[in-house]
Amino acid sequence: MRPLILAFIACLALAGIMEARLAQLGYAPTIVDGAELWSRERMRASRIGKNALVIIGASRIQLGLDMPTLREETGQEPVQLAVLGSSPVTVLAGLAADPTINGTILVDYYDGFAMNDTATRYQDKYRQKLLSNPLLTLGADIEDKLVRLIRENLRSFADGATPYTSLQRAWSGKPRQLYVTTMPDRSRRGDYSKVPMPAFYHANVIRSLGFTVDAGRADLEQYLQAKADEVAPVDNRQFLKEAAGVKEMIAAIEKRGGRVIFIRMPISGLIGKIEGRQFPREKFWLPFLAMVGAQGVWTEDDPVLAGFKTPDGSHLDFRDQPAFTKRLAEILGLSNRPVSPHAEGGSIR
Amino acid sequence: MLFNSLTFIAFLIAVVTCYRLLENWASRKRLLLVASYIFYAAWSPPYVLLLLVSTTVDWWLARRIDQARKPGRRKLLLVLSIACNLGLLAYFKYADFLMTVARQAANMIGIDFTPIESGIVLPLAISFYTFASLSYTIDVYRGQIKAGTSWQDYALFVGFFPHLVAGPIVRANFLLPQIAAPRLADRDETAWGITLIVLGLFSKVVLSDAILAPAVNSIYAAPSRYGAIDIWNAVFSFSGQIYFDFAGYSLCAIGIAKCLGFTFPDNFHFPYAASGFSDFWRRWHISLSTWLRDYLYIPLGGNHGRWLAYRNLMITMLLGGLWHGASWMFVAWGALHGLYLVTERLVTGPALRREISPQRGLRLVLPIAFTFLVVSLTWIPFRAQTPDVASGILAGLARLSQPHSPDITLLATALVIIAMLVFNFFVRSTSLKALYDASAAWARFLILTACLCGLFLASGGERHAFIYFQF
Repeated sequence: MRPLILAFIACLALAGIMEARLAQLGYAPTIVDGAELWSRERMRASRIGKNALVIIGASRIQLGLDMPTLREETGQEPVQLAVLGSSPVTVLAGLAADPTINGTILVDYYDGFAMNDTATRYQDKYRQKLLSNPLLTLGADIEDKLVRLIRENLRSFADGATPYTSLQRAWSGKPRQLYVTTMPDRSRRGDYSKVPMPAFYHANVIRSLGFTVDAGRADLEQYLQAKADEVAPVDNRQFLKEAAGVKEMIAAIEKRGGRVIFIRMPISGLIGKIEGRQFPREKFWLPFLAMVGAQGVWTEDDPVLAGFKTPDGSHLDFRDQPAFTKRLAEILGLSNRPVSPHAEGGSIR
Repeated sequence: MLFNSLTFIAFLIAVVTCYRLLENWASRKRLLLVASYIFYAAWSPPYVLLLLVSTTVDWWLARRIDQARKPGRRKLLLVLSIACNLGLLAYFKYADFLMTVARQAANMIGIDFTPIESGIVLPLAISFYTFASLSYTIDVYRGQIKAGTSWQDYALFVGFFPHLVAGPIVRANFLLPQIAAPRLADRDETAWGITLIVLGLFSKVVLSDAILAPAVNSIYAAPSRYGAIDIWNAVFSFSGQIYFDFAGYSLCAIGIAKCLGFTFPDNFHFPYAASGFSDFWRRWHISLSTWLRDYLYIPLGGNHGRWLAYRNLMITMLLGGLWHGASWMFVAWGALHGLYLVTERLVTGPALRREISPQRGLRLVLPIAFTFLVVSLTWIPFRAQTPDVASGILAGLARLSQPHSPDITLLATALVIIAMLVFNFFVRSTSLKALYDASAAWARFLILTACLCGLFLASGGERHAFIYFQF
């Protein structure tokens, strides 16, 4: 028995040393954002009902809104359902089909509604959970809770890593490089002081342009500028055709007393230029709002919101989240407090 | 509830603690029975009823068989028991397959027949618990055991959670006497039981899932993209994957039972050190091969008559293949092994039955290598879900091109396979228990520490169910 007990102690010691080393390198336990957590939040949205402030879309809104500020400003309960790299339509369709959803839905507007595998997978997982008897999934639910308990309390699982990856991190001695932290409520915080600029920004621009380029070239900024100038507008027919389906979803939610608001999150620099040329506002945003008949906020129309810059071109830094969220709540008319004079420049329709 | 899940570890700690706290043997048995049904219900509560009905019917029929004096009545009751068990198996496991075969046959003769989708869900462990249960009624019929056992003891024998889901297939005459007499593991037995659980989990989580499975899965998903080196690597890796997966499960099951004071038979005996095909089947999934020998091969006539023995071997291996799943691929796998056994008998004759002595040493290398090679190639239809994938893998075995797999994958899988073969070879005539007893305390400490640290480092990845759960 003694070798066995000593082996368990040795293994615990290894885990302890790794945890201490990772802490020294700046790692902290993090949430694993996946279908399970999303389903849990989706269920919460149904439970809260009228007082829910449901946020859907992609990373821009997931990194853009500060949940405590939103809660404090609106008196409503925010539920973060945005899915990385995803169109909001899959989730919006699910919300529209659910009679328990009758609160306010904030949609991260993007000028393209391509379906996304991740959002569909999350939605399917939620449906499965909903359809099955809780007694039938008790075993799986207990396992999920135990796994979460461990992962959310150990640095060895930080940022979705396995302990093996963490051992490599601890061995190499490199401090934590990841700039995004997922919070237990699924909101995210981006710390852009941790990434090398302007290389990170340039990489984002290159991704938006959709081609590969030698990131080391001396005239990279000018080159990307020239390429951004060449971007041609996208045909809007397919987008507007799909928007017709969105109109029905909004109508279903509004019929139950709910509210849907589209927000075009801030973008800046070359990303703003590229998207502005690809998706001209008069061909996408304006006809879209006219067609679906919903409220919309183009954040750059508000002088206060227009002042927020996105370090990588398309996402806010976590230091700007509270102020941005506070101002957004004001111009959306969701704030409990009197609207500040800056709201005059807001663009709510 | 998988053995490699946190829920199971919590469940096991709770069960072992309560088991030791209870003083009365009857209470302990009741606890194990309730725990076993909770364990099964964690997968699907409604199917607990199926287990309950199957158990009760066999228990009741065995008593009637025991009480019946007329041979005809005894036989009738046995046939009823076999029909109930195989009927359940046929309905849940083979109905869709049989319908597909019927549709194909009808279409071949020009009849348009499209069976409706049955939507049947295969109950977990049905192949294992029906075989365990069948052994009881058959043994009672043969007069080898009496049917005097209580329903509660019998239900515990069938549903005992360490062996319920994927074996070893423990026979009634082996486990019922253990259930009848009070038992509690002492310190050494508990230590050995936990050691087996750690070794089993290490085999499954680290060797099978973390190292070998990724190499196998990517290549079997698209064999046409890969050349000979990658394909051969996948073929040998699958040999390792299924061995570490299933032997790992068996070690866990034996270890869990040991922690509760019960002994299960060994299910694997270093199978990749087999020096022939009959030797392989004496070392691989021993509880199934001996079950098939005693309850199918021997009743069919066994070795009586040369040609009859060949026929019986083929029937046994074909049905053994089909037991693994309702697919022609498993039938093909069973048929190939049947063919090897028949060929081996034809070629070696009486040498087959000669026990291969460890003193033959290095002269065994060639037969062992040949057996491993052929067994590995024969896993191809077993792993490939369709004939297309199997033929893709076979075609790729001779396709010369640069390896696509990362160097680290090739190196890690090659090291694991070589280490497995060398280990199997050198310990082929001994047992894990003998090795454990002979090892020094510091060696046990080092091995267990390495396994536990390996388990910790490999945790957090994608979790896979044990391969044999699907059977």
